[in-house]
Amino acid sequence: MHEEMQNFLNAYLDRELRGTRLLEVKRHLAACKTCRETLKELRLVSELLKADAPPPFTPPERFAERVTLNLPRRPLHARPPKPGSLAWWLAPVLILGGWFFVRVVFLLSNWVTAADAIGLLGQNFWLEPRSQLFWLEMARNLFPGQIQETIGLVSWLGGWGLSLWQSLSLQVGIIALYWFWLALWWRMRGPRPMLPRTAPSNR
Amino acid sequence: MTQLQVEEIESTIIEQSQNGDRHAFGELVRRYYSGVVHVVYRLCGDAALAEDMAQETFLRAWIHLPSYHPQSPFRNWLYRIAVNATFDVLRKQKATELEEEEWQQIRDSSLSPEAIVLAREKAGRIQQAIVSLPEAARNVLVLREYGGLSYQEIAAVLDIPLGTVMSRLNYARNRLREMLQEEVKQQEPEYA
Ligand SMILES: [Zn+2]
Repeated sequence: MHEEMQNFLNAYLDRELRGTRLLEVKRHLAACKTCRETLKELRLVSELLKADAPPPFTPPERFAERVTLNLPRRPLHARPPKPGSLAWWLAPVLILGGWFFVRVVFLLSNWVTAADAIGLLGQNFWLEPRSQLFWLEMARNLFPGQIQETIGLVSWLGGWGLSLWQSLSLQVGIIALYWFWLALWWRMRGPRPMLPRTAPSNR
Repeated sequence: MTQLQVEEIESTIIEQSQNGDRHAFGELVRRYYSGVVHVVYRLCGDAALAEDMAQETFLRAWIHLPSYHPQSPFRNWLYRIAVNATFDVLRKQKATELEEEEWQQIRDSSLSPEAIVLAREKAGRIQQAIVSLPEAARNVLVLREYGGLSYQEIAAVLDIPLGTVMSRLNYARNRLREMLQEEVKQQEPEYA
């Protein structure tokens, strides 16, 4: 008992004991003079250490100045944005928005071309990739220079046989993949420190 | 200011520093320097070296700041870097001790005898006793007495089990009790 209790005197001194262990030690201290003596000496040692004045150091103000002057350029880690941050949501939304814009502009010009050429507005023709291509061909003939690029992109899409909704779900899928990758990266990065010995990531 | 407000300001400064704001990092240095340099001094027993080590600690902290997660106190994260940096240097020093001795002789010859005595006395008996402890026990003792960390925090900072913290602290305080017997006895009457 006495031997065992001696191991807990420091923890008792540091107020790190709880519950039954604390009661045990208190009870033993009340009964054992040797342990009371040891505890007193341990307390004196601790007080002695704390009372020992350190030498004068450079004042914080001057030290901080010196350190900030010597700070190296920090390698800018290619840090993907944090989940939930503005950039995290904005990047895919901007991609989707940009794509949608191009798509809508193209469709509108298609419509206008169609209405212009025939004088009537088709019902659902724009959902049909082949009719899209047809109007495209017409538009290409009508306005050669300006819309060459848009037309190139869209006829490429049409060449793949993608309808509007198919390519829309393709875009959404790509964005979902992007988010999935970011989330995965974030999880992998979290618990692992860059350099375990010198730069701990705290737990 | 409430504790909560203080913490809020602090986490803002840390975030700014993480984003590369040198001015904000300077503020962190001002706040934590005293604690860090004192802990490091107790580990190595040399004031000049302690300041160098404190600087090294903050430079490492600056570089690795993006990997800091605010779940645990910034102070503890710094102490971990400080302990590692200090022992990296102390081990290296040991390896080049012979060379160092030669340099020391050259340096000493330019000092007056009084200055040499003063320099040697600077680290008092208590500090000498601390430095004579084995590295593992010294870490725990210094973080407890001068870092003010709880056993749980020491275990986290040094990556050791709680039981090991207790046994190393027991060893350290008991060794010091033997080494500092005279000092302890001198203090005793005040409490009688
Ligand atoms: Zn006892």
